[in-house]
Amino acid sequence: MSDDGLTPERWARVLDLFSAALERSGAERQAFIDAAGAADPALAREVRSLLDAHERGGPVPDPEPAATPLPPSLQWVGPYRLLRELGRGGMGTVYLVERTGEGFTQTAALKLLRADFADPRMAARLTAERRILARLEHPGIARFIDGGTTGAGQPYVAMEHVAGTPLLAYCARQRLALHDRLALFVEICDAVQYAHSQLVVHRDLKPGNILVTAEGHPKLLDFGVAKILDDSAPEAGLTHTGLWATPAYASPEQMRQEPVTTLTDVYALGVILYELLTGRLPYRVEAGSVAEMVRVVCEVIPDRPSVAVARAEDEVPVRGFTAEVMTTGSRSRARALARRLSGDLDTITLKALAKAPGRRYQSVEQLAEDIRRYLDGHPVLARPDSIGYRASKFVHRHRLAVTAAALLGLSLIGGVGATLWQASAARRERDRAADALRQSEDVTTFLLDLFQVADPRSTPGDTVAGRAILRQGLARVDELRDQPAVQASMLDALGMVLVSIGHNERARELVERGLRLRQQIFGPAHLDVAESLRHLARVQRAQGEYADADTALRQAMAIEEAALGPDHPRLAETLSEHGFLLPYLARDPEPPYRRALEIRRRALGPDHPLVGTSMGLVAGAARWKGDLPRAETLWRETLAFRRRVRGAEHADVAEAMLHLGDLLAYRGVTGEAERLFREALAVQRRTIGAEHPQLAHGLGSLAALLASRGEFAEAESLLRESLAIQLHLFGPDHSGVAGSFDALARLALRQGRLAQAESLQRVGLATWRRAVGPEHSATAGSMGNLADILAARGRYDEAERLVRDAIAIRAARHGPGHPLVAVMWLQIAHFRLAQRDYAAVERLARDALDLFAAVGFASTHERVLEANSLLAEALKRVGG
Amino acid sequence: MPDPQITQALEQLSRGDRQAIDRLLPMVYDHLRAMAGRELRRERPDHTLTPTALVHEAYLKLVQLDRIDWQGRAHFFGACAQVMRRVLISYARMKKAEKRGGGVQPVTLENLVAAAESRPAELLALDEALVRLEALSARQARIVECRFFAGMGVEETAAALGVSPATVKREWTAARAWLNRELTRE
Repeated sequence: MSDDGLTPERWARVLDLFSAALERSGAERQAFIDAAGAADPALAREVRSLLDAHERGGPVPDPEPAATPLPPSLQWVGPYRLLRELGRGGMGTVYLVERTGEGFTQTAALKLLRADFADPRMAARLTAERRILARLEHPGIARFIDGGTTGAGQPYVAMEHVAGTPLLAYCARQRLALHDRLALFVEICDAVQYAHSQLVVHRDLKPGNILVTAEGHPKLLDFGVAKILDDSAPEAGLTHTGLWATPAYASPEQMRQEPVTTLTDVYALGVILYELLTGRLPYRVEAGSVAEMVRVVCEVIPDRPSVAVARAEDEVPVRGFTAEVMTTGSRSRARALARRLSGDLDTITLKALAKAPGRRYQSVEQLAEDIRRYLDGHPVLARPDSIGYRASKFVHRHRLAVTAAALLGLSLIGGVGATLWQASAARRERDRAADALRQSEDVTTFLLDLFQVADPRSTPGDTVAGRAILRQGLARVDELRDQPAVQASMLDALGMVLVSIGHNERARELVERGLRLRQQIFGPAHLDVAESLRHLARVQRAQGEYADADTALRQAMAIEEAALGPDHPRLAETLSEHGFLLPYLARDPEPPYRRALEIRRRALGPDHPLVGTSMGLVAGAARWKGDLPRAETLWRETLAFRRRVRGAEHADVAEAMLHLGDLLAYRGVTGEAERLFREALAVQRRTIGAEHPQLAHGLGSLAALLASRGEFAEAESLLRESLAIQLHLFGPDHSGVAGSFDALARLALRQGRLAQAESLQRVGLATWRRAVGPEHSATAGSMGNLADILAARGRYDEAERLVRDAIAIRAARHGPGHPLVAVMWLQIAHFRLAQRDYAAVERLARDALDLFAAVGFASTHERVLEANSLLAEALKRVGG
Repeated sequence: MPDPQITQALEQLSRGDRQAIDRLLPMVYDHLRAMAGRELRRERPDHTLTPTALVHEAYLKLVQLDRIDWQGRAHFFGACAQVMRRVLISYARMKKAEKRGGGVQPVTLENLVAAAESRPAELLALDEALVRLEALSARQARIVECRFFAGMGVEETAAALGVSPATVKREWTAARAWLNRELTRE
């Protein structure tokens, strides 16, 4: 043999020369070999012998003599110059190409179809279709530019080159949440629907044909291309479909080679939706033969997406895009996702995946519409409409909340281990606790945000919807039994909503349930337990159970300080809550307010808005103690601070103006006070709206000021406005409404319209009793107001009895040595003074003064001044 | 039924783990030999089985289709090509032992299996030539396996072997010329 002694190196030289010679022909080839052979005749002989064998052929055939997908010499396809390969698929190879014309250069993606797909009819098909395809102009569709055949008869399609990420990879990479996946899917549907309106069916929709741009919008590739292929080579049929395309997205009618319609695309979209929701395909097309694949696609009913997700953790991930990506792997998260999918999303997906085209959505538009309805919380079309269903739909946003809460809450269980609480004050532990706290606050904030719609203060005029949502929340909270941590968060959040609308007893019940649950789950010293205790204290304060509230807050603070250290803003919050409470217990609120202020300054920075909040609380404490000059200074500082960090147009600024105005009005500086009141009201109307409960303060203060100047008409119209707002927002059984009646009664009393005052005050008292209960401190205050009116009408005995009842209530609530009780002694002193019982007046005034001194009221406190003047009057009368 | 290990090896190959081929080959070999054996034992007067069909059938049966992309498929076919060669050659060897002799006729793709039955000597000659070619260029032997024994196209072969289609085309042309010369040399 001539190749005896042929080495790999020599063979490589032979091959080089052989290949180079093949590119030449005739005389040129002979000359080329002669030249090469001049130095090495044996090499030339070898190459000639191979060339002979090449020409002659032999037992080893060339399996595709006509198939030359892209010879190196082929630099152009039609008018397009090939730049580089973009990718390959079963159908052929995609190149980035460039087309240069007069004054323009256009880049495009060119799909060069496999030569063995070529069919004489394909060229004709392309010509017919390309005009239709070129008409497709939609932002979600890669534009069809051109189609034709190469000189060698190889078909090609040129389309807009899209720089994007394939759909599933995009979702995984961006960790797209369910909502965002659905939004993206709707965009995809819109593009398909548009094409359908232009009478173009895609036929080969799959995630790989959908790219997502950097801006997050989908672009669909290859519209109409499959039709060209199918129609041109019907006899290629299923064999090709089965072997060259993934059958996973094919519809049953496609697998059976039945006519393809727009409903075929609906089916493929259903598969894509299924994959987007669950991270897996609706069924495994895994068995061997084509017949088996047909059977699977045509017969296997997919699991509901929620079921598929729920058992996702047991299975092998699909395509590297797993349910894990969506659920971060945890079993509980998978279950939480399953909850979100079960119901509407299950129904929608399976309707799109109906085996019989007639049972599917009859258009892509309908499918997209149902997804939109789901996203908006409206009833979806995919299920029979019943009243019960629509009712549940009404509160759909809440259901999302529960499920989302399930997601968040479950991460809490994982994140906040019981071990956390073995924590000493070690710094690292503290940081971990702070992390856990953030998560926990996220849950509550999130829940409260969702429920704000149920809190009339945040959505004035929408209380009906709000309360319906609340009802649903209450109804559903028991369904969270298997997720106690989430259930506890929900109970807590619902309790806070209820207390904000004055449903204190129900609120107490829920918050206490939440507390008990959290104690069971996390142990007694967990931050979530502290949160529950803080909220319980708020409810107890609203219920007038101040001593219990005090105990709860102290427990909460101890937990928080141990976990987070003494300087955490969370502690500042609980300290402030304690500050709110202390006056009810006749104790000075300033120390906790001050400490909260210092914590906030250190932890949040000197210009944080919460620093301004704390400044106002400290100022309020000074006011409470009657240190009026200091209170005025502090309020002026607070106002300046808030203006600086909040800007002039902010509700916080208005609040500071109102408090400062109150102080000035008391001092008789009515001009500046009135200006402050009016400006504050204007700011509030612009910032929080003309119908907001916070307006009551300014309206009441301004009305009182105007009444003191005898401007009764405007005062009354302001108070009626306030009453109207409260009535509209809260209904007739609310403390705000009761307070408005109190103010109107006072105004009538001041005008000397005693009968009217009495009837207004009786309405006010009845309202208080309904709103906060008959044994509440505020109810007692209203009884005192009525007593004043009765006394003014000369009914002293009746008045005193009423005040003594009120004193009993307050003594029970606050303890007998509380200023709120002493204030009522002064009321009786007034009655006795009018009845000339000076000894009683002296005794009552002295008792009150002793008590005020014990509490720490300043000599400038209005009640101290009042007591002193009563005492002086009594002594004067006795002495005189 | 699909073999998860095969699928996994293909995924690893697709990710560039060349050593996965060593794990893949024995698995494919076992399956494919069994399948080919069944086909070859089957009495079929019009023996229509082609290597391509056999490989495709194996592909459908052995691989979890929804996890494998086109490249993985190419790797699988590449592995099958090597296996097909061994299967057919051992079959031909067996047949030759039975027949002892018989005319040498050209091998064609369409009746490769039939050739193994009826003209085993020629197939064995091809195999011997391939062993020699392998000594000159292992890659060209692989290319011939893919093109000849598994009926793969240039693009598929290129993907399976991780080289450019131009290289496949160029080396296939030369290797085929070389083989044809060797096989027709008297």
